[in-house]
Amino acid sequence: MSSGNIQMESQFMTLTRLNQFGIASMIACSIAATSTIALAQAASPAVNAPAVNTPGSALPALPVTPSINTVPTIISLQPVTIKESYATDFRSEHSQVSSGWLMVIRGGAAVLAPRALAEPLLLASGTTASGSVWTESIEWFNHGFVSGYRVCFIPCTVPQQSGADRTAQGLRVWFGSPKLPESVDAKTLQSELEQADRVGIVAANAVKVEGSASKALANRDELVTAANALIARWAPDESQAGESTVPAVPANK
Amino acid sequence: MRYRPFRPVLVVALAAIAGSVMVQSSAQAVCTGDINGDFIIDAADLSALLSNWGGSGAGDVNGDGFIDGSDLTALFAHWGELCTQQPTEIGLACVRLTAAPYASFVHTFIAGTAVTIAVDPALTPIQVGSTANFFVVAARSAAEWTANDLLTDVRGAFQPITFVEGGIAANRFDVTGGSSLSGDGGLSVARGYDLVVDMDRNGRLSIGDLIDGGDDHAGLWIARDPTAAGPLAVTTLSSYTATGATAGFTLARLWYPTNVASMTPRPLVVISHGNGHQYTWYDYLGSHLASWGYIVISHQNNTVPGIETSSTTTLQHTSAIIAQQATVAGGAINGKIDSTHIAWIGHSRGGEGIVRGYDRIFDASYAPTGFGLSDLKFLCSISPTDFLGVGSANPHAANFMLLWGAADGDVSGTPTNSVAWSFDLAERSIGFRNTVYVHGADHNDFNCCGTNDFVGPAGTAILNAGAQAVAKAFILAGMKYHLEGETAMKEFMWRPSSTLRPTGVAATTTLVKEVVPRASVDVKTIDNFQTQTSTNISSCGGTVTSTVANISEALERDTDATYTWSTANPHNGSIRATASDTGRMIAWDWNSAQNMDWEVPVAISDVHNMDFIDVRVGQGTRHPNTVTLAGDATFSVVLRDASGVEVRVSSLAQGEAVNRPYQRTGDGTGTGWQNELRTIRLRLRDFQSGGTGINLGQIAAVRIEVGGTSGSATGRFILDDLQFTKE
Repeated sequence: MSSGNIQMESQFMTLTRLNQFGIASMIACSIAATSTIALAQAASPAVNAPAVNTPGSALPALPVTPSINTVPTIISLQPVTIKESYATDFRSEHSQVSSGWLMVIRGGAAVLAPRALAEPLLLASGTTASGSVWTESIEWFNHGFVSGYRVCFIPCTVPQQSGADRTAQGLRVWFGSPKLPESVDAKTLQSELEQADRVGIVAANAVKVEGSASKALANRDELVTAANALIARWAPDESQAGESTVPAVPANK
Repeated sequence: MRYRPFRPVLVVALAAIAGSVMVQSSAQAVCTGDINGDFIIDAADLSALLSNWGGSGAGDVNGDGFIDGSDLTALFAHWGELCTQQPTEIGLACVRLTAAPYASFVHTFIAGTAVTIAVDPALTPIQVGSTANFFVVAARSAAEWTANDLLTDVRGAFQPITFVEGGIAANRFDVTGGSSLSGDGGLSVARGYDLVVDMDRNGRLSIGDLIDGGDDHAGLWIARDPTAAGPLAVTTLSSYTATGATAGFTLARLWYPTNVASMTPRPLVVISHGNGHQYTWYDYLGSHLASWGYIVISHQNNTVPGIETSSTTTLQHTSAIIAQQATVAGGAINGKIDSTHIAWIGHSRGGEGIVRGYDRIFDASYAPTGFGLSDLKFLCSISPTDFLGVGSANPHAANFMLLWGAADGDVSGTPTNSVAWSFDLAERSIGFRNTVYVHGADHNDFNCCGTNDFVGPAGTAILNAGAQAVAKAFILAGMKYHLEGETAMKEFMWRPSSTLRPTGVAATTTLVKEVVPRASVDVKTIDNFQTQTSTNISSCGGTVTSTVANISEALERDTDATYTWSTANPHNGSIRATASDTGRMIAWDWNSAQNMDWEVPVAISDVHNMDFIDVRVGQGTRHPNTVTLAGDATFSVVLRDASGVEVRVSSLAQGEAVNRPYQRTGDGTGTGWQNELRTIRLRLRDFQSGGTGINLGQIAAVRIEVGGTSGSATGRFILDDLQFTKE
């Protein structure tokens, strides 16, 4: 672990969203991060990876979510911009996405385990510089059941670049109710946020932002490529997005 | 009186040239009026008619239940005709039964197993003591029989058989060399044969002979083991990139017959994996199907967001492989995809995704390129979820198969969560549908590498090898039947394993199978519990009477989220309908000899050209009677005709029984999991066996009897779809 004084500026950013009539509307979210806080530095998987699941073990029972007991640890955050926006599948509104946080989290096997039935939503919330609270449905690229690491993307505002070492303050990431992400709408997010507040889920202590600038991506293909690189690093048993999520060794064969 | 054939009879017209016989296929019943069975309509028949004037039975030429002037008219219309001018089309191939009716007439046998034929003296014009020559002939169409009536036995020589006293039980004959008959049908799983009993021993299909397979269908199918690889070498392309698929989900694996270049265009099979699964996990299925002549892809599937996204990737990949066939695998499959014959197989969320994909095309909310709804000939869902419900995950009229593992620890069938109710999807289908409920199989046994989610009694796990053998056999059967019209495969869908088991499926593996024909075709429904909610009136409008206890006709839905038995939840264990679904069933129990009796209205009473009476039936899980029974349940079906003739056939005699529920625990107290329905199918001919005299042209009632001498002493049944069906 290391610590340092980090200052990160926040900004508003607009995301274009298509409403039910296909007409673009706008949403806004951002992360305020200006204070000096302790950082959680990303350790290498070999050092830090928990023995989340032993190949051959059965599917763990789904824990109650949201709960403070299942809040993941944010390992890394990388702001990205995407020139060619895309419609996210993790919202029923299929909001247009052109920026966000590429993130690695560490969690317990029970919440990371792949399931046919509904898995816990992965959610993020923050507060804009103006004090308004936003909540978003996080996309994820692998499950991380074996490694304990999940590579994700928060479709949201990215902070204006400033300095080589920055921290996102006030960012909350948690596992919400079990639901299909494609069913999530604004009402769902509001309800999930209220539940998170009720059970006492708070912002991460410290989140290190990687890189000195937002990673500029051309389109979602490049976002997937970037995610794959993180999967290769943190969850090498899952070599690429969409190919993930289970013990590398067949369990009951 | 001679029986009326179930299938169109063969009419033999003597040709003008002496000695030559022409065989024609016709639905004409030429023996009308041959009351005494001497094969000529003459004064003896008139006398027989007059002797019963005003009554019923013998002499009822027109089958209206009365012997009157209209019968006289009908007889005179055929006066002087010889009704022996035909070989008789009749089932010969059978499975031996230990009790009446002593033979279960079927068509399909696994290669290497014994084959039996049976002749019922009461239904067939044979003479005790006479000898006939039995031939196994390479299958011919009706037209081919017309062109060539010469009998050539594939075994090298015919088999003499001599008819004896003792009814059908004594006139069953093992087919010499039956276990050596070849099942090599090329790309067909089975090879067809026609069976002929050459009564006059003239070496030709001629007057008075018996034939099984004189129409366009073979009388006997010898099937290779459908779990075994097919005849073709397979080439695998480990991955290719599909153009236009969702970013991150563009990869797919391809299997195709190595010699596809020399083949006609092949049907396309698309495999859609489940959440947390991979497209590379279905090699066993891809290579298996390709070895039987299919071009197969398994694609990356966008399952994490949900079912809509999963369906999108399936739709995208199906279009992509059709569009990219000129370049994928170096163009090896270019021009070889028959895009009018497509099957989708989906597992888990992918299993619901393929149904959603079909539904999107059906609803015109998605317009695929390169194919359309009518090109999707077959959907197979393996342990699918049901997130979307009836409005969005509906197979409509598609041919639909469901495979489900009873030890599934994921899509588990828990009564607490309807997303885990796979059978919802099957119940919504109004097409031809069949299900296979596999005891001892868990969710990930159907792929290579998923987590071990087995939940079931110790020692019952069949593991990957066992479950995948089932999947290979039954999916291939569905493919061959729905995509290529191979009728031999149909019997795999309903016959019990005791009489037809793919060799690669362990004899100890319990399979509970349902088959429901397309609703509007070849079905006469007595009661499906849909259109009449009263327990006293059937769907067809007939009166229903019963002596059974605790009758409940309601939605196929467990309403209290536990499998603990409760009288307040009479459909405990039924997880086949969400609150928005409409599927209904009936449930009742018994502790003594009791029955339920359905009147058959005149409008559907003529079933002489139908083949079976079907009922879907299962035991009520964790009910005290089910617990007491602690085994498979049996019952009898009674048919009653308009003259009051009643004939009873026991399910047990047919080797059929209603399975004891899989002894899984959880979700409440007690043992047993969801209600397992199977189709019990009894051949109507069995009700005539031994010369019962029942008139299948005028069935007045159907009764299910339990307890006493008719079946298990106690139990609780869930029933649906009591109906007459065609083969």
